[in-house]
Amino acid sequence: MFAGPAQPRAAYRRIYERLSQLGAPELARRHQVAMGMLRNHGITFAVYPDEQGIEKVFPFDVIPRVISARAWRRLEAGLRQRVQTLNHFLEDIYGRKRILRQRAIPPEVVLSSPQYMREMDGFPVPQGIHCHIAGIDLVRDQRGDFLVLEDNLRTPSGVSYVLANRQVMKRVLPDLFAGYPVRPVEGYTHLLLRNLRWLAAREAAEPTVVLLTPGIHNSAYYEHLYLARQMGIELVEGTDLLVDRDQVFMRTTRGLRRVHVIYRRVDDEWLDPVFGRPDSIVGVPGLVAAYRAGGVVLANGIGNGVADDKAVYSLIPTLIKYYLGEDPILPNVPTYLCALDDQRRHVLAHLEQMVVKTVDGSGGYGMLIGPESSRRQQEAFRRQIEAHPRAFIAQPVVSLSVQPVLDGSRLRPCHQDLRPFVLSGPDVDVIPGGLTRVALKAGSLVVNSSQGGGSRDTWVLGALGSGDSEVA
Amino acid sequence: MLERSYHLARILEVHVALSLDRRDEPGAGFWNALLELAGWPPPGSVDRREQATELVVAGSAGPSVRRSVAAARTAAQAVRPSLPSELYEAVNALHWRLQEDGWDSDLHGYLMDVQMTVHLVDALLEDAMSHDEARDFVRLGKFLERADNVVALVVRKSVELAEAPEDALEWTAVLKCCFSFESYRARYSAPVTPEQVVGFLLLDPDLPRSARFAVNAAQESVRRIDERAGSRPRRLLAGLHNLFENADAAQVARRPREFEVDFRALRQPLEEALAATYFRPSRVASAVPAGEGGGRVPQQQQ
Repeated sequence: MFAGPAQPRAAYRRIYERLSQLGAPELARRHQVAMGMLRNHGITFAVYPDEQGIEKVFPFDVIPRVISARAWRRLEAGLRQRVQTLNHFLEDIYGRKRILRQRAIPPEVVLSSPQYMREMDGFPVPQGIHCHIAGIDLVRDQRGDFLVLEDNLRTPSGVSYVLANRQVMKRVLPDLFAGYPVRPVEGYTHLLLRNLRWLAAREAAEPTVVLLTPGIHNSAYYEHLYLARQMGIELVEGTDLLVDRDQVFMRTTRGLRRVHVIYRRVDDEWLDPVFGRPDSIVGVPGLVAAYRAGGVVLANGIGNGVADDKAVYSLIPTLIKYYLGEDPILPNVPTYLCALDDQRRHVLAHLEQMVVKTVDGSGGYGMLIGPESSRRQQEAFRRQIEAHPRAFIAQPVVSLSVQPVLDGSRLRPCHQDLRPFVLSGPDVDVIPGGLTRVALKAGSLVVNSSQGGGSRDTWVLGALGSGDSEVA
Repeated sequence: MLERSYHLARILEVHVALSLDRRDEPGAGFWNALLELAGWPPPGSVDRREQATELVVAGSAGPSVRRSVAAARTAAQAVRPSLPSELYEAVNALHWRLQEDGWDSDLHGYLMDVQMTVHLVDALLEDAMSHDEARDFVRLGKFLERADNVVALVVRKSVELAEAPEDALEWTAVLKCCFSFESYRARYSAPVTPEQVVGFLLLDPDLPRSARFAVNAAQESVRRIDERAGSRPRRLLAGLHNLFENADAAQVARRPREFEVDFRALRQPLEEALAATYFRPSRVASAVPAGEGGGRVPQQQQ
């Protein structure tokens, strides 16, 4: 945001001037109004280990993040390239396995992934799309370059906060908004509904689409409810559905109704007690068999986890080259696979400088942030890595870009990341914006809401403006 | 007038949000269209803030939100003995809140206050007030005003958006202006289309925000107020009822102006008939049949 002390970059100049005019007390008041709106709307999330209660308002910062039109064009192209590649990859490894047979990547990295679902082998998914909704986490390094931190291809959440943050900003600071050509994000649910209906267009002229939620205790329940309502589709739990002769039906007061497409927000292992965990009470018995028989479409597909496995992540530049014949537009954060002997040795020798993650972890849990860790924590991770090398990857600490957040009446720099959402249907669409998550704890690099993170609105500018030549 | 203040608050809130979603600063056309929706002449200014000031407080060309609430309060004062105390107090308290300075520092909060208070008044009307003639008169005014507002909004938006019929965000905004987006979604799990929106907002018999529902509700109230089947208000309301009953959504979507002309042809005489039949004391008295009091006003008890 700043090029130097009290020197805002061009893209932020008007924001800085307007916020300065408002002054700290008025800004603090508007922040309170924003938080009140989020609370009243019920825009909360659940934190399971919190003994104080499980419902919290997602912290919100009123200073928006601005991305210039030029920077966004590059990001959009890179995200589209990445998601297209990941769809090709999933289609290949659950189909002909060309990339594995040709050993373009080490097959064991894929085949040893706990998220690789052999049950999906040879199953042609509708329209060849496995990943209909993707959330790609990006960070910006000190030079201003965007890097991909991780891919979320299973049940990515957070888009409701993107839409809610925009609504709040338009209401709390409309004058600030009016000074910028900000691209709207409200088209997201229209696009998603169009894509979901398109998946069953051959089956029915008016297909029935539902959103399957684990229920009210899920941390993203608000989002499930919000999306279902905005799209006009039924929000269902596992007990609302049943499978009969490989077709899925919804129980209604007027009898059973055929379901054609399920936007599922239940993880693979819980989706069907016959297929995954037998103790699942949020799934639907027989659902996976119906899916395999072509009786219903699932979005996202089953088995996508192999493509967002953090070990496979390190291979994505190779995949882009292999499937598209292109160089990656968005680079990865350098990543070491602990499964490979030489890379593991390097990681273990530099644990105090590394961020170590489990390959299928999420939510900021199960991580070691080397520079912030104790000797004891490092030793615990060392033992785990040696025992289960395939389960870990490591990355050097990226010096993330910072942007000020409003902390009472003063500004304080905080690290942030960005999760744009990509929808795959007849076209691949990137929503202009995304969820900017902010590490609100002083000095923290963890942006997850469950660990003290918050969010802010993300403004993608729609026209070449004064900020276009600068890093925004 | 409360219904009018609600309508103004709603369309202003939706359109301010819409203006902020544009990449360019909306020009005169955008604000002209908004003012037209409010039933006002084109503005002299194209500035968002000035337009908001006009519609919220100033009202130099028509009744603003603040002035509409003030008028509703005056009307409530006139019939205060017939209203539950809580209902009058809700309107009165809103009036005083809206008179305070600082509306522009939280326009959304200001407009939401109007909307939520009107919902509260509606709830008090239904749940705390005797379902008698006084309630029916309040409902009659409310629903006729609603029918007017919805017809005007849908017709003008249909004409305005004729060039861009696929603009889902604009049509979503039309639904939101009528507090009907979620109801629409509960009905249609499909892309937002002009024909469905027009059909839903004008012709749906079950949506409380639709023009048809409003006309039917007004008709029911007049039936309860006036038992004479041949009275002019009842005949004109029956005509309006038939207009909505027989309308075809596709045709209305294609020729919205024609529908509006037909609507106005009945609505204008209805307004006059209601005034002449129920609000001019001499006519009311002469309308009471002989043998039922003969129009004599009973003596007040001392």
